[in-house]
Amino acid sequence: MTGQRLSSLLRLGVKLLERLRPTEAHQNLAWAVLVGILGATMALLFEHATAALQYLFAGQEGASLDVFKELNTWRRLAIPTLGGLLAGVVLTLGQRFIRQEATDYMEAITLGDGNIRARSTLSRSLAALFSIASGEAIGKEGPLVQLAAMAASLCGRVRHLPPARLRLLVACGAAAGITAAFNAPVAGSLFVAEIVLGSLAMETLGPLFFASAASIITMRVFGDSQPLYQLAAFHAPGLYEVLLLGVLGVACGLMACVFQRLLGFFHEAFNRLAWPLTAKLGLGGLFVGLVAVLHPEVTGNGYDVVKSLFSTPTFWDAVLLTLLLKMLATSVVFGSGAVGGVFTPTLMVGACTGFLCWSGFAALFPSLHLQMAGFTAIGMGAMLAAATQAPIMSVLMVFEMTRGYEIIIPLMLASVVGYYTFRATGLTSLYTPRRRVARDVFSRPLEAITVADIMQTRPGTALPTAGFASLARNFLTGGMDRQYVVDRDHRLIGVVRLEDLADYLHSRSLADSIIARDIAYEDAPTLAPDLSLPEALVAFTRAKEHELPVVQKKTCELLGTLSRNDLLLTLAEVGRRNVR
Amino acid sequence: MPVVTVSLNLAAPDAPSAIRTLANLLKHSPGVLDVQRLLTDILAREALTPTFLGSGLALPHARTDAVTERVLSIGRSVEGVPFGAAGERANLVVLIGCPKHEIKAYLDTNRQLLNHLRDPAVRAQLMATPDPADFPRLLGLATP
Repeated sequence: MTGQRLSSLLRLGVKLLERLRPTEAHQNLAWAVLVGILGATMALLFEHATAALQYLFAGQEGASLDVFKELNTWRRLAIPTLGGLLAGVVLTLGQRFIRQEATDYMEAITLGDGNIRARSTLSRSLAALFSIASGEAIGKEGPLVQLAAMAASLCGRVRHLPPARLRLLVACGAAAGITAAFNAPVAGSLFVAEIVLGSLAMETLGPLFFASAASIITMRVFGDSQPLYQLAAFHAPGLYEVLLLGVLGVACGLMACVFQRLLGFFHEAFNRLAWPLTAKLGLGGLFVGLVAVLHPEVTGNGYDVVKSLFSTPTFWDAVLLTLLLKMLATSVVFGSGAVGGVFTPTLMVGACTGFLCWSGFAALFPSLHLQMAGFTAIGMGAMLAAATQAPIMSVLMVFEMTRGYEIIIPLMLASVVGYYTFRATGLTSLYTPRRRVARDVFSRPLEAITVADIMQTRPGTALPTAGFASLARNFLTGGMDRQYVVDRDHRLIGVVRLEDLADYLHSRSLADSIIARDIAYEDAPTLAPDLSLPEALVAFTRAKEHELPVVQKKTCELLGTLSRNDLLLTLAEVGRRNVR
Repeated sequence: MPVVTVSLNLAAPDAPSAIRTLANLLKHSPGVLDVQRLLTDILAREALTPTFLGSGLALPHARTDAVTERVLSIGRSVEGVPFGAAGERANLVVLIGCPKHEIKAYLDTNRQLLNHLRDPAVRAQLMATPDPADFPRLLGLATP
């Protein structure tokens, strides 16, 4: 490319950049889209890996439940056991990678400061892969979310994003993962907002929505886009039906309590067992295998069970048996130390509870013509709201999964009832981590956090003699609107602003005549690295800038930059944690 | 309003001598503490990157402690003075000295000058007028 063409392109680029001025918020949205696509890709890869491994184990393809029904007794016993053992081996080998901060159930990832270690995630996901493919009663959404979050974390770390923005990006990855798992973009975003971030503010919700949207679109391109559970025609319920659905809410809240207790019981029981991890997991798998010999429907995460509830007529006693066995199997498997998600098993428990309630009420009040599909679907929502203590997400999740509008009002009612019922029992949500480990910067008390902890450490710099072409290129590739002029010892001399550079775009020779030093503001306001966050906020208010350089007091060395958005994000997260 | 001196007939064989001539016009101007230092700074800056802007314009300048306010020295040459890297000739040379810390004023001055100098009609008028007082007016530097 000739020098003239390049210069024209650079000038055009800077002109556009100056006009459009992508702010940090816009950049976050762009990153969210990328991460959304990545998340969906990880989900697709994991699905294919699971299917392939299941084929390897069972010699057949297809839905987990159907496959297991076909197997003979010996295989029904052996495969889950083998899966458990293999998962145990992976976890044991990977023990040096796996951090203790990992939560019990993989869906509720701890964001921390956004550093999701690849090796830890891959070990746990591999273990989950073995458990899931061999039919153990846990959900695959957990590993999907973790892998998507890990991919997002890698992206953010490659770009050297400061902690607050890295956290947000990882949250977007998680949202993409949940969306891909359930084909539910709105619920996916709200899952992360409500459960993982604990905030519904627009600065976070916007990128989450974008990531979910990108994820669902990717899934539609490469996978299927059907709603997960096809709901039969559901008519708007009458008053009595609505009241009974409220009772269902109570039942689900209580059942969530039972489930939680069961999970806790086996967790303790296995803890007291002084066996090596592999043996424990093998034992868990063996239990599933034994039960599966007589009742193959206990395998898998329960999705097949729910689907059959909606489609084929079933007897309440069969459903009751499945419900109890499933809760037991899931609790044993998690107690034994398996890695996976508890989301889908929870949905299944809710659906069965709904079905059982319907059976009971329909027998008591035959004239009301209660709808089975409604009770089952609302049972899922109420159970989810109760167990995860995230009612908004639950309502939207079930709505997105079933796509039946008439269901929303009774669903909201039952979910809120379930939520409060569970709260009344005094138990904490499924996703409350048992061990509270607070090692990241956001968990420190506010006074202990300094500007140096949260700044961006790779600021865009330029030498004083840098010409237009180099300045323009940096602005265009870096996406920032400030460059910091430093001397050879990395001491800050001045700040070049994009809007000042834009004055020189008229002609090539005009552009070529300036150097960084000509248009750099010296005596620009700076931040000291040891400044506390409230002091930094005051500095920002005085300076009226959206980004300030962080400079060592004595040497004037440029250490990094801090953006006002990052400061505000950090303050919001620290404040939220301190309130809890 | 910045201090402005004008030379209607700048005669110089090359850029450094043009700069030297124009700087010397400011020797007794208010706001100039040290003409020699101003000259050195401007020559040093010119050596880094030529300040030829095309369309016969050159804007040698420096941000320097040698002045306490903005000073401009404008030179006009019909034959042109070689200023560009490839020897392109400049018919209007605007020398600017600006205090080191007045970056905003410096950028505003530049912006203003460039906006006016871009207009070929303005340049034609500048090249034709016999009255030095027209220069600040045409370049938007005069206070109304």
